[in-house]
Amino acid sequence: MYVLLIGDLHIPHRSLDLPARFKSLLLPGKIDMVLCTGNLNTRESLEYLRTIANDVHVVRGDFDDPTLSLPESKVIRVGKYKFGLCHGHQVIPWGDANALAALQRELDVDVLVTGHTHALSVEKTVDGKLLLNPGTATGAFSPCTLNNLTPSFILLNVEDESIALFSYTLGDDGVPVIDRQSFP
Amino acid sequence: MLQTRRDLTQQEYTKHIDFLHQQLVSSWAADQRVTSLKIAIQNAKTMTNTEVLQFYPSKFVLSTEILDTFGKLVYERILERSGRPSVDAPPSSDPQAFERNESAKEMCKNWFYKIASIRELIPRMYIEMALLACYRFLSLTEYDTALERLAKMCRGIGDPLIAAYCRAYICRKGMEVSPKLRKHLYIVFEDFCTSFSQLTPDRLQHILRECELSFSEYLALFVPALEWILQCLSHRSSDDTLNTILHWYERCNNSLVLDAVMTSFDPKYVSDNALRFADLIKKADGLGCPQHQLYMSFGLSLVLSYPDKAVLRRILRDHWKVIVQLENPDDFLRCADVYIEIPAKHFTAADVDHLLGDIVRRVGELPTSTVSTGAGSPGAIAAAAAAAAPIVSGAASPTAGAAAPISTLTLEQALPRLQSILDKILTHLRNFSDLFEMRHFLPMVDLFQTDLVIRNEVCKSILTRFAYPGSTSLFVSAVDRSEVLAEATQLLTDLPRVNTMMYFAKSLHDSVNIMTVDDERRQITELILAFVRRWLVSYIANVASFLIGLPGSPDQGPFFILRQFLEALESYPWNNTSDGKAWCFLSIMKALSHLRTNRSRFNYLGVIPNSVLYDSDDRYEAEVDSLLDIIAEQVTAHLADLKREDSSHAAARRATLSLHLSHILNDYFSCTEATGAMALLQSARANLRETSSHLPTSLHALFRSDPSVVS
Amino acid sequence: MSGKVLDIHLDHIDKTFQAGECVSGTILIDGRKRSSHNGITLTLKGTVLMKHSSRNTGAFEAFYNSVRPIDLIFHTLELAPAGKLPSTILELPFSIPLLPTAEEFPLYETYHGVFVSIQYNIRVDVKGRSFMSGDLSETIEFLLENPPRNISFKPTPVDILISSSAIDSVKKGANVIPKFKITGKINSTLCPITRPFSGELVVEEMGSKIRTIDLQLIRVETCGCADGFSRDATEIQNIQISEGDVLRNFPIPIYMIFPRLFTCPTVSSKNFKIEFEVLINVQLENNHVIAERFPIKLIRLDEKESF
Repeated sequence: MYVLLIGDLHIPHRSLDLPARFKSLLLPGKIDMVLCTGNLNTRESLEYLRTIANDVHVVRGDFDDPTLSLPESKVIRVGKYKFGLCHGHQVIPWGDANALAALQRELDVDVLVTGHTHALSVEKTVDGKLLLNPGTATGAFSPCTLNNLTPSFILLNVEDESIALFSYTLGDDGVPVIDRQSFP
Repeated sequence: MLQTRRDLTQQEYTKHIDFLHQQLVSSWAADQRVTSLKIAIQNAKTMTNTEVLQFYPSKFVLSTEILDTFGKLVYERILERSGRPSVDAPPSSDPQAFERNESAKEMCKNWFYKIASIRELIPRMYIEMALLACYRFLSLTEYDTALERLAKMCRGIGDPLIAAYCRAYICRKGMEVSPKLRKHLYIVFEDFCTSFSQLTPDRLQHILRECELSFSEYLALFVPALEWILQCLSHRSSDDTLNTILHWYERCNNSLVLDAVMTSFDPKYVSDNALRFADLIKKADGLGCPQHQLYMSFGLSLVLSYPDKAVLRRILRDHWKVIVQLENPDDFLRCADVYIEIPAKHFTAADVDHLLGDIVRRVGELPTSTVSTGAGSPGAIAAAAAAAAPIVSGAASPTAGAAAPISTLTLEQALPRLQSILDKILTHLRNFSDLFEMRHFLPMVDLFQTDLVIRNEVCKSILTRFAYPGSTSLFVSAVDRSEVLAEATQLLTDLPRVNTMMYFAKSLHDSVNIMTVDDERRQITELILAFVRRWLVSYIANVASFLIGLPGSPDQGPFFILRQFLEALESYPWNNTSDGKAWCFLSIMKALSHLRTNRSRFNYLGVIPNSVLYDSDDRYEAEVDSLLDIIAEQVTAHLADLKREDSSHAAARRATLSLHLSHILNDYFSCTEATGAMALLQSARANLRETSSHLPTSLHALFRSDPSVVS
Repeated sequence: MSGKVLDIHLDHIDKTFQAGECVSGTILIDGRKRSSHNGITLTLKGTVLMKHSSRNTGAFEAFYNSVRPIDLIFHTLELAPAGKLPSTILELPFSIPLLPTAEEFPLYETYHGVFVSIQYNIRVDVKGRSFMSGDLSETIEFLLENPPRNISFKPTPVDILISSSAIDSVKKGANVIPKFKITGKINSTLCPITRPFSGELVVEEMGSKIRTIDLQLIRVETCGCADGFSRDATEIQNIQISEGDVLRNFPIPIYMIFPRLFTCPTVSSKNFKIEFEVLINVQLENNHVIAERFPIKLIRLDEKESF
């Protein structure tokens, strides 16, 4: 089962659109589920995600249109695994592994997906749980990261016994660079 | 050979048509053009047959599919003969190309001469329409004349249903070959209205009897064809188009046609001519489409594109008067579901409330479906019971008990519709406090009592709306946030209102039982928490995190901003019954704890944070500690208050708060080697136990650093 | 060459040629299948064929059933003397002016009827040299049209009025034939053959249900000589313009294309006549028929075809 992790699009306030090379990858019918960490900003972006897959889960980011009535956090079962989804602006400090691990425990999930920092990261807690951050799919500006703002997202292949992770970042030449990892 | 007989089921018939379709294609492939034409005519002849009237619309679809295939085959054959890549490509000037082109023309003429001699009118017309695209091989202007002629030829079809579908096919083909041509569309619609005006139950008596159809059911068979015609007409239409259409419509004044006009045309046209439509609705004959359906279609257009507010108000007032009078409660609710959006979107809470009053009254009059457990007819008993004791909520009902309910709609059945009405009100609500301006809002919510599932949904919607206050702007700016905050302040200081919201939250909380699925439970928990902390807490957590990366003021010390922030939090009119303040303090504690342990990873581009500025500065660390002290005291005081409250709900809140506090302290003390936290850790553990903690893993992680604590 | 040893190709794809011009084409002989011949001839022939109907036989017992045909044009061309054929496909182009042979008969247009037919054929004969390679023969019909008359066309409209009051003569049937009134218009009884026959029909009043309204195109063929003649009206085609019980006072279009071959400009010569009529035929559900006949005159005008 293919699960797309994506977020912090900030369209249209900080970025005009997804990179074309990403858009051409995210075609309808290929992905089973979309987990979005929020900060889509507008309903149009949400509608766009719904074209990629039928099963779309979104949580509220600090810049999301409040009329979208998105939840603060969400727990979704994907096969054998429990996924937690939260934007992450509520985490203190933002993106801190310990703070995220606390949230992971609070939600009691195997995989916690957060965003907000705009930096792609893949970490493991001491309990072996996954903390994933797909970064920003548009490379939108964020004050809280020193990294170059590289557009990125994560694609997971969730199987019975393992999760294969593919992180997509946009190289300087505009071509997506794919990094593969496997869990456990 | 091909008959739609009563003894043929629809599947058999479809199979038969499929077979014909294949035969047509295979005989064409085998160069048996005459056989193909015969099959096409054979198939077109079925359009003359109305033996099973109910099946006619689907028969039309099946048969025209074959005709379309036939038309395509002929077209491609002629195109191939012409040697051109497309019919619009100019023929090249060399003599051979010219000859091929002439030969294609001749072939085309032959086809048209052949079909012109088909004896029966309807098959002849259908075959000609199927080949319409081929006229292009003969001349550029042939389409207009052919379409107009075909449109007029439909007048020769005596059966109004057959004629209607034939007209629809003309429109469809016209769109295919030349969407710009419109004259035939006008003829088609005008004739449709003329012939429709002569449809009366009297005239159709024997057809209706034969097919066992009611007059309305019969008229409904026209709808797909009518919609086709109107869709073509409304395509790139102008105001003139609509004027013309309405002019002809007035020939028949039929409700079904009017409804199709309203649903086919751009809502903007309808709303621009709102008063005219309102007038037409009044005059419509009510045949084929009930009056309330017209009100609904019209209302939908107004919701999508609204006219001038004064006009809108007038229409709302006039129409609501009629809608309230609708005898069937289901019809009434369907209309109300549409019309409620008009005041919700454009007018004041008082206007919404006015409609709500009538809705609550009507729904309140409905019988409940409490089925008697005793013997005898349960329906009758339920009805009797309902008549004896109707659930009346809110305003006293003047008509209760006056007459037996017209429909069998029960209160329970009406609830989903009522829920939709409520959702619409919530969606367009500008100010949450407006809800409390509506006298009929709470009585409406009361109506949901009988259905636990829907009641929960309703509570969730209200709490969600409360927890994530809406703003009509897409992007909440800082100014909007402050306005929302101001509203929140006002709301939270209004005790009765807070109590009401508490009631919803409690109702939701109480609904959780062993059957509740995990995520549902979590959602509910989150909503209750959200109600308790509002989104203010999440906002403050964000600010606290933001403060970590900020440097202090050179003159006022490292924590100038943070102190100001704390002061602001102190002066905020917190509600004693909420954990909001404690959550905010916890957020700041988290931030401070990180500053103290200096593990903070992030900083802003080009901004040197305190953690760098004051690295290993004793005075700086002492200040953090003292701040932490003050705040921790406040939080523990709140925890103590909660303990006194002595309810399962309070215990759950206390446990969660304690856990977060413990996390912070654990973090803090793991770096500072202080030991004073032990007591707190113990108490947190006790709290978590008490409430049969849902997070054993957290406990484990928390005490991992000191295994001796875990007993 | 479609596998034939001998074939005739006409230069006009629609096989139609105008009187006064030339009929032209190519004769193709496959030399690979036939090595020699004893002469190739081409014959062009245009004839009016006539026969009396058997219906009239009683009145014309004294005459033969068929009347002597009239030759309108006759040409024979010797295309090649006896000789060998090349071992490829031999192409022999030809071109013959279409001019009347007999002074009293102009070249009438091609027409295929029941009692009168006007046909133009080209026949090619290849004489065989021996028993093994026998004679070959191929005939092809081409269509002849007269040059369009370049006159300004003035339609001659006719009003339609068929009503029960007009048929007082059938008083006996007055009880069964309901009261009715059908009006309308025929746009012109002078009909350019390439234009559709058109008009409209309005059922203003009809006391009974209508089953169908048909438009019948009828040919009236007269053939004969000084000794007598026969006149027969037969149906060419029957086109339904209305199916079922149509709305009253709702104009129904009258529209009919004149079929090729089976129609030609109206002919009236001293030996034969080809005339046309249109019959409006209203059939009622009780099987009664109300019909009205409209003689028309077909002409060829200089203009594009109806399609």
